[in-house]
Amino acid sequence: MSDQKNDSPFFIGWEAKTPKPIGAFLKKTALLLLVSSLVVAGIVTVLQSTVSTGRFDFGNVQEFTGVLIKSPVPMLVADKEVEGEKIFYLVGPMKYGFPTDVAEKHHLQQVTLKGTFIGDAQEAMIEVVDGSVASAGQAGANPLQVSDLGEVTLAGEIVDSKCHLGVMNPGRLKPHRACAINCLSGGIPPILVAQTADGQIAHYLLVGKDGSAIHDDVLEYVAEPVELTGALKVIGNRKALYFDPSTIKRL
Amino acid sequence: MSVSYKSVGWNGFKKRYDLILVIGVVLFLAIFMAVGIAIYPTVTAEILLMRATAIAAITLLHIILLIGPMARLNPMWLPLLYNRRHLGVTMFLTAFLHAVLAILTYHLGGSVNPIVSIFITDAGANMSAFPFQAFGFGALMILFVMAATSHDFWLVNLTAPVWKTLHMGVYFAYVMLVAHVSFGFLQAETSPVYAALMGLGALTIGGLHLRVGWGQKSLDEELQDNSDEFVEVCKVSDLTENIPLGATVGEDRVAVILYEGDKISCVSGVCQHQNGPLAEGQFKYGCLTCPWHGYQYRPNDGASPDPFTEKIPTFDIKIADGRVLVKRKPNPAGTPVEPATCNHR
Repeated sequence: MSDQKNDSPFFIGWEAKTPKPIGAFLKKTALLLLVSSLVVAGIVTVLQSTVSTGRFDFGNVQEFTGVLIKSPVPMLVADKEVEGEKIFYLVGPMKYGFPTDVAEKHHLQQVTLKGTFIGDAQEAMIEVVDGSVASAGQAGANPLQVSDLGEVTLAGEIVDSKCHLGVMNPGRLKPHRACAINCLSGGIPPILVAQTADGQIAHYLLVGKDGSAIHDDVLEYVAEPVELTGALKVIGNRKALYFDPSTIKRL
Repeated sequence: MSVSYKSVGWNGFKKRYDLILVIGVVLFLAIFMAVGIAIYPTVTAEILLMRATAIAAITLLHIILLIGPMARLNPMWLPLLYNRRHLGVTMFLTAFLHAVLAILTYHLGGSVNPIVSIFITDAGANMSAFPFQAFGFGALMILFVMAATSHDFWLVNLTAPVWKTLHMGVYFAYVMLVAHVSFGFLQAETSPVYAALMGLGALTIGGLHLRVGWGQKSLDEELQDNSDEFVEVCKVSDLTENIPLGATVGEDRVAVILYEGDKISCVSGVCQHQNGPLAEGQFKYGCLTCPWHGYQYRPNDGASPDPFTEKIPTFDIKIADGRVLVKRKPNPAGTPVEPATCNHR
């Protein structure tokens, strides 16, 4: 296929020396391939656009005190701010939600618990250490006010709250779909990541129309552009959408 | 019963080749990680490493697939082909690390078996949920089989045609990886530069293979229709001393070689080792030498010099009116054939 001449240099791998013209060519070609590959590495790194501000303080277990609330999803209203936050969603280790029996047992009680901070600029969460929740007082009133903002239609992407708030970053879109499905199946609350009119990212906790937790009902829509219609409420300072999962529309 | 195969000869060339390869992969990963963490301090390290290993593996795969056709078009590329199996194994290991990180990160820690999770979380009804993980898993399995059978031990035991067919699986793996990237990463990271890089890579690889395949097709068709017992493959004046000329006789690729001044022989054009193109080699040290790994065969009997045992078929040959005529039916491998003689030019 190639046109060789009688004096064409010929490479034989087991020979001690590579013919000089081939050696010179090899040096240039290897350098070109190496530099091109490293340029590709640089370009691909720089152009990533899905990394968020969320973070997970892996290995830094802290003690939190406050009132535990079981619904619409397990939360802790802390006695004092941690990382500028007082309201924390609660989840279990790995890809599991906070145990419902523990939430039921300590509902509206003052508690102490140990866990790891997860959060971004908007919301925070605690990955609670198994068995670390202890009662620290009697049950009282719900410290969170709920205000109803009426029916809204929102467009965005359904993700699992734990990964998106910082355990995995990037923790959304197609490559993360499998993880989100596993997390939601394990009881981690879903949130809708939507873009506001001014281009900001907003989070909406997703709960059933009657305020019940939803997980499996949204699995098939994870990481896809969707439109949801429901009642928008503010719980404390957290926005939540109460909606019927059977009305989800793919965009 | 025993088999004979040669262990890897760690000559200086292979050591330099592997050193540059390792430095290249380490630098690639280091640059990706360092720049990534500098620009995105909140990024999860394992996800960044997962991406780094993925991009490194597919970049290596492109280089691997580039070397074959480039070596056919320009023999100066042949040294890169000589040790290409080490590139392949390195690429597999890098891709394997990517897969392990993806399974640990996305699939482990839930209620579903991580391997099962790869498939049941992958199915979707539309483009944004179109399966991509299964493509990656399938490609990894092909690459594993290739890496595991890359040693000459398997080449000898499976025989070159079977081994070669098995290793053609790299093209299936490549197509599956293009689908894996296109339906996965490119659905999230939407910069057109990513799609352009992937498209450019696929077009380059596809275009080069088509170019080389077209040239080989012309060669293969050259003498297909001639039904005579002896067929003309070329004129004596077409031959250059020590440089074989490739042709197709019947269904066999052959190499016709003028050597030692006036001798002309014809042997199979397919190396017994990895089915390399002997007609693109040279006559060196008294033997027709394969351009891929330096395997050698005597032109008059198709046998490798002692102590090697490889043999290729020979063809009866004669000269008439300045034309080189080769018998259509090959002789059994290693059969001595008296060379034709000529008054060259």
